[in-house]
Amino acid sequence: MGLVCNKTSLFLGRAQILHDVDFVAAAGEVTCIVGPNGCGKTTLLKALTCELAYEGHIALNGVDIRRQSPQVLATQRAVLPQATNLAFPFTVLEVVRIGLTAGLSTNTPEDNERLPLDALARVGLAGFEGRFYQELSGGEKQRVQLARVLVQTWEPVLNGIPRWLFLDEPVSALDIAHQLQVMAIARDFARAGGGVVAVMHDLNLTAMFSDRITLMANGREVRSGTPKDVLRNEPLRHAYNCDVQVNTPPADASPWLIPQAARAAQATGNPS
Amino acid sequence: MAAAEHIAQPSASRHVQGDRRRRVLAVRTGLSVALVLAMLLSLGWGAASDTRVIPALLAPLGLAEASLRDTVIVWDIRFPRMLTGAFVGASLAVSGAVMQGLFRNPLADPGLIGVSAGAGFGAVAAIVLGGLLPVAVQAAVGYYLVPLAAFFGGWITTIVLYAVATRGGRTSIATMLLAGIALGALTGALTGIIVYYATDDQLRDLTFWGLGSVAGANWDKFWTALPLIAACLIVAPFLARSLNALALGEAAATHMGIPVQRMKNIAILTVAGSVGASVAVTGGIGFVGIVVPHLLRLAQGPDHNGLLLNSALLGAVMLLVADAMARTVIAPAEMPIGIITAILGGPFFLWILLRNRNVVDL
Repeated sequence: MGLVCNKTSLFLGRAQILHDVDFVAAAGEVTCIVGPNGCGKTTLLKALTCELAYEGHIALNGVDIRRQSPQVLATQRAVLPQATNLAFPFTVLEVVRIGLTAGLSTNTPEDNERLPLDALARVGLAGFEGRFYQELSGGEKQRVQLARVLVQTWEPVLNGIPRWLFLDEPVSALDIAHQLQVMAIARDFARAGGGVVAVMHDLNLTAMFSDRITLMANGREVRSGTPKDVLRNEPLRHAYNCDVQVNTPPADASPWLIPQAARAAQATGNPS
Repeated sequence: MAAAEHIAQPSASRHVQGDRRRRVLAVRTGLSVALVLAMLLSLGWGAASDTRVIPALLAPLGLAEASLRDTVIVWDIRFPRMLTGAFVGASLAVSGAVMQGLFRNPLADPGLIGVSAGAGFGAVAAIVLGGLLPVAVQAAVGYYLVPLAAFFGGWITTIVLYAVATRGGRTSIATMLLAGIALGALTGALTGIIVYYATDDQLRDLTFWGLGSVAGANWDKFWTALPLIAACLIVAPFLARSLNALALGEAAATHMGIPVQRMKNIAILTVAGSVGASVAVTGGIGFVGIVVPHLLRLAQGPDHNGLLLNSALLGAVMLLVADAMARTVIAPAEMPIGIITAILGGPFFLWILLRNRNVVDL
């Protein structure tokens, strides 16, 4: 059970955005897509969620996603867009409740009353139920949407089939505490058996929370693998066209990086 | 996710902030009572006095005695008129709410999908050019010529607009909006050309048609329009879930399992049919489609699960009250109902907007 994407290309108008991309994500893991602005990360996510028409083959849990109806797909995965604006003055609670009507309605009425509140508490917005969505800050809106998405796929595994979260830059509008909170939600979801695919900008958070990383540049996959395989100086320099220095702190040996270190390393003539 | 972490959450019975479903029910109860009162008002208020209405109502059932004249007034004139007013009001308000949800814009009204412009063109053409039709056709269609022309004018315009905005099986709402403006200008110009050739009597008919009236209602017209209006009123509640999801955007709605294109097809076609039938029977009645959903959003929030049915109720009440006034203000003559809805609705709407500016701006 997983997400498999073979030789997928995508055109927007005449421009080719994706070139024969291969991408794999497994249930039970957090898979991050990273790469510079405009490299096709979000476009790949939109292909994976069947939002844009693509050429190639994409299968979720073993079934071609183009053969699935939106109704069935909605029971298996939820999608968090980069930003969501509303046309009408819904309250926060009402927005989260919209997520209840998606996917499977196997919940009891009591569940349906409780889940939105649980989800809001999970994203750190307990007490925000009565606020108007449009009055919130960008980061708060993003977390309300995450709560809405969580409500849609509350159980990470349903009837033995893993469910999936597709997150497009879930933490880009958030402060550091909420970045960690949201990434922890993603990791918990994966730990409980669900699959998570996230488009990320912050490489340090990616290193901390992901099991697999796909690095993209110019609409192509540059490298895929574990954080230690992908977050290395050479592939990052190639993809981002920017000097970075990957480091590992002694404690748990997960890689981390700061741009300043590249300059410091050059000055002392001591690249890793 | 570990739901066990949150066992200490409030129970379902406790009222949660931001949950406006109870308000929806309160509004629905109030509007239901108001609708009954408005229907009685519509039956009782008019050139025949109230005291004769109740016996006349009961007379066909053998429960009371009334003159034939009163019975005819109540059963063959006021009753179809009351029902027509209620259904047309409900149709316009629900159609407005559906269109606003579909276009994700609180200012949308059925006019945006070309129904009104097309219906107006059809009606004007029928009024001015109807005399040029072969006598046999005129005799066959009779006084249904204007309603029929209005209905088909509205329906055809919507189909054309829909075809223009749909490419590769996907309907672009933005294209439909812009093409609607273009097509509206075009039908407006064609209407203008026809009006230019109209006689004075025809001009008077045109003006009154444009302002709308329920006065021409009878059982035949009501039964003809009812299926299309009822179809819209029955289908609309099933669109509520989709319209709520659509408020988050088309992509988000699809991700939540909404078959967006099918839903657009259904919404646009049922609204075009319902508004076309309404406009054909009563002429152009403005304002209801925009004001009613808006007032309700202020009162109970934008959740379409409560909005659509309550819009039907409030639309019916509003049109019945306006019609009751239309036939009493300058009795025994009648004022076009469009004037009433605008004179009363305009300032009231402005007042509501000014009072709720903080919410309206959201």
